[in-house]
Amino acid sequence: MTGWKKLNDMTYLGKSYTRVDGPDKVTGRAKYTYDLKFPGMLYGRILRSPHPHAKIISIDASRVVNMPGVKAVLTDIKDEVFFVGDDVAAVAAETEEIANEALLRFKVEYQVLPFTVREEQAMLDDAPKVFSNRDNNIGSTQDRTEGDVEKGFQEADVVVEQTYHINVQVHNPLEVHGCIVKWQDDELYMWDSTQAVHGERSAMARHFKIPENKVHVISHHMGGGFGSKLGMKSFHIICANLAKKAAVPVKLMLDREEQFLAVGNRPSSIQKIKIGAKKDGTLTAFQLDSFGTAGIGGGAGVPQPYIYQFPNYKVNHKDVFINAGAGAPMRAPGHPQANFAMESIMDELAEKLGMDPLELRIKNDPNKTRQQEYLIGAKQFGWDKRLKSGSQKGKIVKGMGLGSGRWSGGGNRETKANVNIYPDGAVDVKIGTQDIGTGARTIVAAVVAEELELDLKDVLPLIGKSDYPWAPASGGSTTTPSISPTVKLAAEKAKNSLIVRVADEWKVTPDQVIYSKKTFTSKDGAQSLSWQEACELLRAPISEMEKWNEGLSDSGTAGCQFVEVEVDKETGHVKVTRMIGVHDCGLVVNMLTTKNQIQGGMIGEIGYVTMENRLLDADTGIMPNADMENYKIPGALEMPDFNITMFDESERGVIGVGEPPAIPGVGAIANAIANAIGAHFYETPITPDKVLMAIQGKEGKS
Amino acid sequence: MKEFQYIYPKNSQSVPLILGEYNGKALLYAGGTDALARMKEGINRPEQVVNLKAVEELNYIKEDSDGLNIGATTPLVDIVNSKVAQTYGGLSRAVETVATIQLRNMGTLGGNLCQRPRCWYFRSRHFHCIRKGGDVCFAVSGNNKYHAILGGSSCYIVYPSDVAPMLITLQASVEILGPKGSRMVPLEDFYILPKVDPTRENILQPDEIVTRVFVPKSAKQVKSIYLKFRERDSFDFAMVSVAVSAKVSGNKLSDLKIAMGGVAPVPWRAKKAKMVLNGNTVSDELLKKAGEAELENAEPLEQNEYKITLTKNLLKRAVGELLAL
Ligand SMILES: Cc1cc2nc3c(=O)[nH]c(=O)nc-3n(C[C@H](O)[C@H](O)[C@H](O)COP(=O)(O)OP(=O)(O)OC[C@H]3O[C@@H](n4cnc5c(N)ncnc54)[C@H](O)[C@@H]3O)c2cc1C
Repeated sequence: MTGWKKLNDMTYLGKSYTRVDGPDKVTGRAKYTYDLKFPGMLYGRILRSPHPHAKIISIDASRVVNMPGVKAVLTDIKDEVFFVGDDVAAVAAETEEIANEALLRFKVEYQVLPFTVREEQAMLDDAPKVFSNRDNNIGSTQDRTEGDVEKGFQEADVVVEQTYHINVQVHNPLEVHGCIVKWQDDELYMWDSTQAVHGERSAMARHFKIPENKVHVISHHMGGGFGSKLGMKSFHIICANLAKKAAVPVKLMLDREEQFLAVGNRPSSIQKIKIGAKKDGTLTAFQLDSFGTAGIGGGAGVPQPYIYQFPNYKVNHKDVFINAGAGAPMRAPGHPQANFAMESIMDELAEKLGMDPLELRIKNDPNKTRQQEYLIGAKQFGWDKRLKSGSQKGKIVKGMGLGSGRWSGGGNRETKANVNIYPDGAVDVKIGTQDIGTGARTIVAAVVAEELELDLKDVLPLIGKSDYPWAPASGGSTTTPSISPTVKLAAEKAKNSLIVRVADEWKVTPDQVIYSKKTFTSKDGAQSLSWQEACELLRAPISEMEKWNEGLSDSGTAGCQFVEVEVDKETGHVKVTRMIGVHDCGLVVNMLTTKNQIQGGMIGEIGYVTMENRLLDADTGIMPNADMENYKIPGALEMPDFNITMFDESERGVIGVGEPPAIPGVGAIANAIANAIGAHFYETPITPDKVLMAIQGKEGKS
Repeated sequence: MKEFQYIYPKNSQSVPLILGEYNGKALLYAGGTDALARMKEGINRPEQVVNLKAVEELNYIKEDSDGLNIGATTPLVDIVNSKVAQTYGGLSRAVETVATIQLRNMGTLGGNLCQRPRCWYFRSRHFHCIRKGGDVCFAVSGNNKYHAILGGSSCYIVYPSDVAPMLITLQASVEILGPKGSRMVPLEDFYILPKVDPTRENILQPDEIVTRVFVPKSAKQVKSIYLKFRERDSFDFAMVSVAVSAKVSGNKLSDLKIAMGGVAPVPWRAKKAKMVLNGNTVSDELLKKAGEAELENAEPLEQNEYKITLTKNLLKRAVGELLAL
């Protein structure tokens, strides 16, 4: 095994190149699950609960089953529903319209039960119970301690105490969730908009008690997931059951409302924080009491104390159940929530200390990479021009803020890939990863092209099928560090096999054959073959399989972002005007898609901090803004100037960068707004109404 | 969506008859950008859908000696681009703030003026609210950040159109066609408050339609402006908007007209603010007074107190921008 070539010697890696499937996507040739149709295919729809908590007493489907066009009905899904949007029954029909009409014909008798949709209320002893078999609504808890917090606060000259309330965000991939299931004899084929073809295969096989090799999951193109498409969900099972009953393929795509209610969200987080520091800014103690909700699921914990070094800390967290759809991992689970609270309180601390926020961070950040990234970012950004908070006059005021992030990433050692070289010179690579919009398909081809010294277009990347060699789910920023080394090793092995074949032909030992730029030459210079001619020597394709190995990838990234905003003090409107990101991810496999990824993370941060808000109506448990009009995400006019710098650590090998860029800007945006108007924010999203009220609170009622 | 019969009327005259024949069960459909969404959500389940866009004769922009006439099915985008319409004060600019280019391509002027409110309780099939014939307004104790601070009573919707407030300050009127013929009504009298009837936004009878909007030539003799504040610039309804028209000499305003969107269930005529400002020399002090007078009786709900400040600030800004025109 050889390592990566030097950065300067590479044609693709470290450089920018466009996506191999870009033209297919922009012309509509690329077929997403949503686009697929099969002969005789039916359309499935799920009847969902209008109640946040109820027992299903009976379901009368008599007016559904005899409806023309209805081919399969499921009424035995469950007997208790836990949130508005929970599964009740399902139907498959010849058209989507018939299926939708059929939903209106079910007669369901519910015994409505008490519910709770506010985490503060759910924590109380007398709160309605989400799960009747539990004593209360508290899920898993965490307690972590280091050092002696009491002592730490005694040593502090300045102490700040605040509570932060971070609301629920919903993933909102462009393509909603959905799948098509077709049973063929006893084998199951599933076309799925998924982040894990292999994960879905295992889960479906286990659920339906069939061998894994009789389940085939396919995801050619998919329109994003952000973590919400990492595993099997109830709609997959419902679709497969409908398809079994109807004995024809069934397509079940959720609609946007269902996406908001039933397939995941980023949990809320309420963090009561106390932080202490010495006069010179040295942090001494951190204390956190937090709770948050992932609806009927878990995972609302936060990795506090985030980023900065505290010799003493005490962290206490409770997951709280409410009657809402279960949370799901979302781009850097827990980190943006932690970042918002930590960066916010760090800025308040800096203010109290009379210290520059950047200086305070540099003083307390133990990470060497980030120490350098701070300086690069600050210089590019012009941090020295930051004004004292709230010091500007006029209608439009500017503000600056910064924040930091970290992530693990790293490769999965079980990853496998198969590279084939054909007698006609063609090359393909098979790996059971999936492209969730990050450009995975492109880098699979590029790494092989790099290793075989071919052009990108000469390599056919075959991905998105569970019948291909195993690769991990696209989550945790592990995809690129898993697939790049594996694909490289498989390509290297295939190349070596071809060299052996050429050596045989020339009757020399393989070390006498030199391959460079599509040409094989013998060391003595006497013989030479083109790639094409060499391949023609093959009687059968070369097909080499390799496994991931250490040495070509690494884990652990740092990053920081600087944000400038403009606030209109008369309307409370916030415009993010500039965002600068300094990130590292080892060897950058594709500079273009990496920067894309980082920019996407920053856009997500703008949405999270300034707009996105999953509301739940307290009286009914219904989400009033389960649509793209009222659940607001940024559009083209919300885009700032982006400036992204990759801090070069290429010697570390490949590290993932999917999640890291979705973190630092969260607190940075909040701090920039606070810097502009001179008032801090304790609740997300920071919308114009809150900004206006904060300004009014500061300046007194006008 | 329920299956429906799709009806192509031959001319505008036949539309009221068709609507009358189906006795409220037919839905008038122009660009469909609002109507279709309600049909999909299931809050409208018509048995007949009447395609008003099939009536070619209602798609025009024409100027005559009295003023500007715009047919009801004229796409919004045409008003934005019309050289003639652009000479009628802030009209074209106001239309340009509506939604997105895609929606302005599809949406019609008549549909914009007659669009149903965006209140999320009204729009959701889950809530049988007072506007849909129920007996409560869920916004009162619910999520009411975007709701009315003025003119609400049994219902707290806000009026959504960006075009109507501007048209009202330009003294536009609408032509209403019924089975017995047509009549002209000033646009400002077209809309009704919930206290009159919480289930309707305007005076149209089930078998009446809007066929034309007329803007008098006087609109060219005044200065006018539409200021819209949206939470999200890329596309959004107005959180609060202010349309102003007036004759301006120096810092003095006369013939002042102000209509506001996003604050009340109808385009809100700011008559109290007008009283303060009209005929006087505008100063910061006077603008402040005007805002205070107008919002003195505002009744914010739990989450929309900010609208009081926002409205005052926008009023001030709109008048300021008008003076600077
Ligand atoms: C995402 C989104 C954002 C939007 N943002 C804005 C915005 O910022 N500002 C704004 O002003 N609007 C906005 N709108 C509303 C949009 O402008 C209206 O939906 C559109 O103008 C309606 O025109 P239409 O021809 O499509 O009406 P339709 O949907 O066909 O009809 C709307 C209603 O009016 C009735 N109707 C139509 N024509 C007539 C007529 N001639 N006489 C009597 N009744 C009639 C119909 O029966 C129906 O009830 C937005 C809409 C959407 C979906």
